[in-house]
Amino acid sequence: MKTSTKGYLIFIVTLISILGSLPTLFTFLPVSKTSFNSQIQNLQQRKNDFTVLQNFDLALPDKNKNRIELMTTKKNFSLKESNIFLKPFLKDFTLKQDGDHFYLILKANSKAFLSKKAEALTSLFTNSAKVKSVSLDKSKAALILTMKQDKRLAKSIEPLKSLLLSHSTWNSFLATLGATHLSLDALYHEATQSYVISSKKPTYAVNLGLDLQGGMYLDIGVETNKLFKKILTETADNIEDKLLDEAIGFDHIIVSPVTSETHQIIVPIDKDEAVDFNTPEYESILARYDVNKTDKGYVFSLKQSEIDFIKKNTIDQALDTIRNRIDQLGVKEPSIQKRGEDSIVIQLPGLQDPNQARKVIGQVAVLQFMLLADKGSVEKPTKDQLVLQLETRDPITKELLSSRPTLLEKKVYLTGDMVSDARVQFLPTGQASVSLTFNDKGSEIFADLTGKNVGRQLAIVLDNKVQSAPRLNEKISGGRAQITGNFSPEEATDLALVLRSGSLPAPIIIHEERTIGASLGADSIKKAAYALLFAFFTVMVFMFIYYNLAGIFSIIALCLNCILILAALAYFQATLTLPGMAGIVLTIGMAVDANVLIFERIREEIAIGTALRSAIHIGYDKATLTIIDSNVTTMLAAIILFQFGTGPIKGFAVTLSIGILASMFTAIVVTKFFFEIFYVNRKNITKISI
Amino acid sequence: MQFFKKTPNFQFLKHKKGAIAISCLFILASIVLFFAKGINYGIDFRGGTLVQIQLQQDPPLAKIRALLESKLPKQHVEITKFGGTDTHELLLTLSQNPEIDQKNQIVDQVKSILITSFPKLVIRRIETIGPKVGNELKTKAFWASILSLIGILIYVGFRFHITYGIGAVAALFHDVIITLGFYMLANMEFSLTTVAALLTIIGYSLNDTIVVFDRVRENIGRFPKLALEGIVDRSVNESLSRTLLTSFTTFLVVLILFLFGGNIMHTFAYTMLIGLIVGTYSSVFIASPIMIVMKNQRKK
Repeated sequence: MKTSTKGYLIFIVTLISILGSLPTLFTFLPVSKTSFNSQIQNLQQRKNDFTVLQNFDLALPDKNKNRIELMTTKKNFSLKESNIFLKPFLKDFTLKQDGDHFYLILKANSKAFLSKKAEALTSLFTNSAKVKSVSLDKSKAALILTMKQDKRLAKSIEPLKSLLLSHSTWNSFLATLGATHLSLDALYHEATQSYVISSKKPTYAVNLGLDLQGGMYLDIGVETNKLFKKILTETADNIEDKLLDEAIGFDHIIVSPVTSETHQIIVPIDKDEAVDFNTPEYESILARYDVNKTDKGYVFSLKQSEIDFIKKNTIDQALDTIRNRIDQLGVKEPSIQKRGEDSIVIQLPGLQDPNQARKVIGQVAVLQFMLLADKGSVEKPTKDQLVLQLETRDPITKELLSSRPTLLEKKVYLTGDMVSDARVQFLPTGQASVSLTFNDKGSEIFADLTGKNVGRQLAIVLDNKVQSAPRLNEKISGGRAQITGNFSPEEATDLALVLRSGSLPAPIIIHEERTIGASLGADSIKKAAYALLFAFFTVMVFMFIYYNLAGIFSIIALCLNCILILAALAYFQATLTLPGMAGIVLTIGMAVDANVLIFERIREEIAIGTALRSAIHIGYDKATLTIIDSNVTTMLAAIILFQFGTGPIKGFAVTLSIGILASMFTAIVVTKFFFEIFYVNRKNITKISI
Repeated sequence: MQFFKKTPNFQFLKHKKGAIAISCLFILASIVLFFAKGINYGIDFRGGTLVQIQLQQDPPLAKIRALLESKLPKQHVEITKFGGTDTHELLLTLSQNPEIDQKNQIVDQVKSILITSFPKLVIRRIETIGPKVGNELKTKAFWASILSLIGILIYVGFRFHITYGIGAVAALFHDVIITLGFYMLANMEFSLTTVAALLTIIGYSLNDTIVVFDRVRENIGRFPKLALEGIVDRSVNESLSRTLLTSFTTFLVVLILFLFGGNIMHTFAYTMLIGLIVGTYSSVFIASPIMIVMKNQRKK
């Protein structure tokens, strides 16, 4: 390759990689004081303007006078043209204040429809009226809109939200470059019933791994075995009933235990009895089973196709439910994925409260309405009865105060599927409860159930524990019920959330959890960045001392190498993790290896008296093969590491591989280019500074 | 600046018996350590829960231990300080306990027990590994190591000769075993990061070995009449300054990582430091002698 071509190539690569690495660099740059202050100011202005907006109730169009009157009952406040929420209207209107009256007067040349604009304004006002209070969290540079009870900003119109989030074109341009934090993002936070409006992460910036930004990584599975046990037990009960009906003698029916890999029911029929399991009645019970006769008796094993179907179905169902629940948690950019056949991987970056997340994700939330038995005893439940515990806990310390066995009738009248909505409600006593709204079918059943059983106690059972058992005083129509218990407000909120999003098909098990606090992540990134800079600097100094001018060539190559890694990270949308940063540090140490190999070769050639110009060429030629051979093997290790590793380790493999590839380019092509400019292309070379 | 004014002429292979004896000693010691003490598997492989907690003052370990033992008698908890004295951090390692550890409430319980005495505690990190993942990772780590070794054997055998491949892989086994020995000696926890470090060492040590082998191949062409021992010695000497230089810069950055990279990087950097020394040594004293032995065997 000609030197000039090489020069252009290097120039282009450098330019592209510098541009490409900007987002990565911005990820590391701390938010500057001025930019942070301007953010605060920006939010402060929005807050003030918003408070003004809350004074208005309605916008009335007045066609005759070509104006809109902004109706308000409040006095002593001022509305200025600079109000950010008025901005979209000022194209067509001018603002006029007349005493306590405010008007928007249509401009002469405007073609806007008065009624439409008034409608938009009104919806702006009604939406802002739903907000109880606005506050500014200066430490986080966030605006917090706390909503009034059960209110949300209208989703269909959203003029308010979009205005709160609006930003100028210039800002959005900067944001796409990843340079500023001025574009905003709104998140609804269920527990506090508030919108948190804060700066948006620049879209092009490098993704930071959970270990660097803090958050939660969960790998969970579903206990399908418990589900199988339940299915088997049900079938066994059915068979038992049937055999008893037909007065056929049999021994104790055995159901394979939860831990077993096989899913079988063994029915030891007495030797002298004959049963025909091929009748239609049995077939309806046994459709999902293979039937075998052995010397132990009849063996019914769940068909393999059924097992596979149930497993797949369970995990898919769990995935849906969990996704629903997490969507309501208010986490930015959650990721919920199925991994393999039996795992769900959940990543919640920037999560504040891992405990809540764990509870919300893990609660099975099977809700059942059953009647308390009016006959019988807890010690001796009949076949149609079962005993569950009614627990009382201290609402604050969660200490178990009492656990009372309660006798229930087995029949389940209503389940959580028939709940269409669940919300937190506070009782007059200040206690938190969850109010349920049933769907049409549920309402009907509920009215019927309560009407027929006046005077009895209805048990509300959640995950096999009796939450409460209120006495039915009258028929309840309208399809609403209330769960009381010793809930704290947070628990009630979580329970409402969980009930809204449906129950899990089976309990979950946590395979793996990694939760990193945000402060630890910030510490890690700082320390790793310092180590990176320090290592970089040390190696540079050393290379200069050892190789002089050639050392400087390699330093330039090393710089370019680092920029290339950062650019590649941004380009591939790779996730940067702590081990990933270690990979970059390591690359810095190893990247100079290629240069060392080349330079040592050149020195050798010079030592044996080769002409300087050809010494350079021979040095490069001979070293290149060695460099490729030795780097391929390191790549091999990195690729295997990538295959093997989980999240953070993968990050290490990625940066290491990128680093190796980049170093081959920079060390061989870039330094050669400098050698050519400084020495090879000159007429007389008398000495090489190496 | 130059390490050696002229190409040095050390007779490395003269000491090969001594070197191999020393290496064997180290390997033997590592094996003895393995059976006597065993690898201290971290929760990545053993399963369990790890909680990193930060307090406002220096953690009073005895008090915390007594507190947890009285409130959680069924749960085995290991308590250790973490990091320097200025951060006031401690690590709790909770063994797996199916009776208590349902839906990971154990962390909740620990927190509520400790928060009464230390109201300002911050939970900085929680890691929980179930038994399924632990076993899965063990198998995966094992296969990753085997696979990379086979891959290397094939690549080196293909690019050079199978005898070179065997020499290289023998050196790698040597590196990994001795590094693990030091690891056990320091009683550090064997985690996923350790596996990453070991694989990196494999890559690095091999890098070194290949540079020497490359020289050997070249020199065989240049001096066809010279005995293999002489050629190897010559090649090692010729690439010696490069070996020292690269090892030095890499060692430097890993040392920086060890000193300034934060606590979480500690085990990684420690493994790398040992591995670098052992790896550099093995590419000079182990890989080549074994390659020569293999070659001579074949000739007979």
